[in-house]
Amino acid sequence: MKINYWLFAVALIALVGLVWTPYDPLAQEFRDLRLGGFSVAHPVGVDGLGRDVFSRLWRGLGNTAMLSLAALALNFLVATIILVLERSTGRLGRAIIPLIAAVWLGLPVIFLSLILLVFLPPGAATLVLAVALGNTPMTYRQLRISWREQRRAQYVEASMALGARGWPMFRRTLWPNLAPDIAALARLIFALGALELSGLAFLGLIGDPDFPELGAMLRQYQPFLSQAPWLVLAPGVLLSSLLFVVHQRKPEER
Amino acid sequence: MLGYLLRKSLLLLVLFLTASGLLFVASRAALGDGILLAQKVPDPERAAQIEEALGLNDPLPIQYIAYLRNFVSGAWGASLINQRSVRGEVSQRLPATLELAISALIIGVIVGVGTTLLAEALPGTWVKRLPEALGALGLTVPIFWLGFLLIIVGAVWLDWFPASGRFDFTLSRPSGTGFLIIDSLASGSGEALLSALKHLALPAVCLSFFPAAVVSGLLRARLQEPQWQRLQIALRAKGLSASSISLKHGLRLLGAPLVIALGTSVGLLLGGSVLTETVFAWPGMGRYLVGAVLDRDLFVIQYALLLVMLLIFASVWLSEILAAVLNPRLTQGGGDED
Repeated sequence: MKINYWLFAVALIALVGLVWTPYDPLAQEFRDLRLGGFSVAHPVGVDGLGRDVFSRLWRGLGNTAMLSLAALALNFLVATIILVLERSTGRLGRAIIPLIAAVWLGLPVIFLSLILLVFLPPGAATLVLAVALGNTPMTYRQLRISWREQRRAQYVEASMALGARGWPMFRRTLWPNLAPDIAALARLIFALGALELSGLAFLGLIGDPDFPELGAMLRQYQPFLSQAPWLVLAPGVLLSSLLFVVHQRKPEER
Repeated sequence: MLGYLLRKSLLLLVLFLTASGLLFVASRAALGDGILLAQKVPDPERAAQIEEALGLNDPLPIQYIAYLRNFVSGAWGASLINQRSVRGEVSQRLPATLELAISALIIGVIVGVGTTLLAEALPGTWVKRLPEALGALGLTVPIFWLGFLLIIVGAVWLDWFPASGRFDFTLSRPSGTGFLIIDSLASGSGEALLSALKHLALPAVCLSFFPAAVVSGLLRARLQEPQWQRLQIALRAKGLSASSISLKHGLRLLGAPLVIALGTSVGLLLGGSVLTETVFAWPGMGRYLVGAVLDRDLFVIQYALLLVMLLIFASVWLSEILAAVLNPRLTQGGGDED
């Protein structure tokens, strides 16, 4: 498997942002430079509360990427559990679970999230949960289709006839063919999750208004739209570039 | 056909029951000791009396049925925060959201169909990439940020459009349906109409990206079907020009997929309007709901949110039925199996 260097680089940058930024993204150290102060020390200036915007953006990128990744992992976990349940509960499960998924799919993510937020406290964990569960039926359906396709393929029958079973068979025969589908699905769910998550954060549902997350930053910088448009432009550009890199596919994958 | 209708109607019913059930459970979980804590001087006895009077001690299924009965009969109560009637608020805000969503839908369909057909008509130019770009935009650019971009360009730099709100507060606002375009047309006031349209322009364009992407994606899939490809070859052999093929004959393929696209767009539009309304300070349902969730304003959530979700389910249901009428082949698939 070839390494996607762009994705790798972005992941590394996001990871660094989580543990280290040039300045503390929460400290109001530069109050006399508010809404200005472009220099080598502050390449994206200083925000209305005297915080270094570059550091906030970097940490924000890290937070958004990490939370979306967490949502992606939870999403795949729940979808896989549902799939395994469907496989292992026999006829009843095979009849009921797809129906549940069809109903679940009909519930729009943002409204499902709002329902969850009615009784869960606003916060990053709640948003991750909401986004992960909102997209679960999509993942489940796609995984189910890929699994069925592969399971019925002739080379699978052939290797089963040769006595392949269990994990080795999954690892050697199924996985190499499932992997591209799953990778494409993961990209899609990650992108949807990141957009939904930052959208909910933008609505103020992440709780702490100062939390450096790209959507929450957009909310906080909205009042500066006419005085300091770059404060609003920068988080969006960053989020879009992140998702653009995630979507970039090598030509042979298309 | 009848089986299809029945299946889809059953799904609609189950969706409604699921959504209302979830909302019911969520708001019960959110209530907790709310009655006790809402009093100025917490008095457990008085709280127990109120709970009894409100029917909160009844078995949950009975409470759930009472909730559904209230929803259907329109007894939606009042906000816990400002005592405004939920029904009154909804009747003011729903037209605002619908006006925004319908305008976005119209713009989106025109843009989606236009770019896709143009791309078909002019292969080999940069136009060819437009529908793809539209789809990519939907998956990479957050809609609320797009809204800010539109404000910066359209309101701050060019100063053509107002950045927020729904109507110029110095003008007298026409009353009637609550749809400002219809109302100002009815009152015959050109100034009011202009103000309504100007306020609507940026949010509607912002929200139109969802339907544009959905419509263009579906249409593109349709145009790549082998049947259409063969028909196209035949038409070209007849001597028709590329633009006449895609405009005259391509449009005919639209029927059923377009209707389904419109139905599915409603969910996206109402979901997206939550974000768009927040960006443009549009006084609609989306902002109302988010505010209610942040304030834990239970009746608003229970009734207004259920209403919005019912609207979404109903429009998907309606579009699926209409699409089946337009293209009866749809009813013969095995339903939801893969």
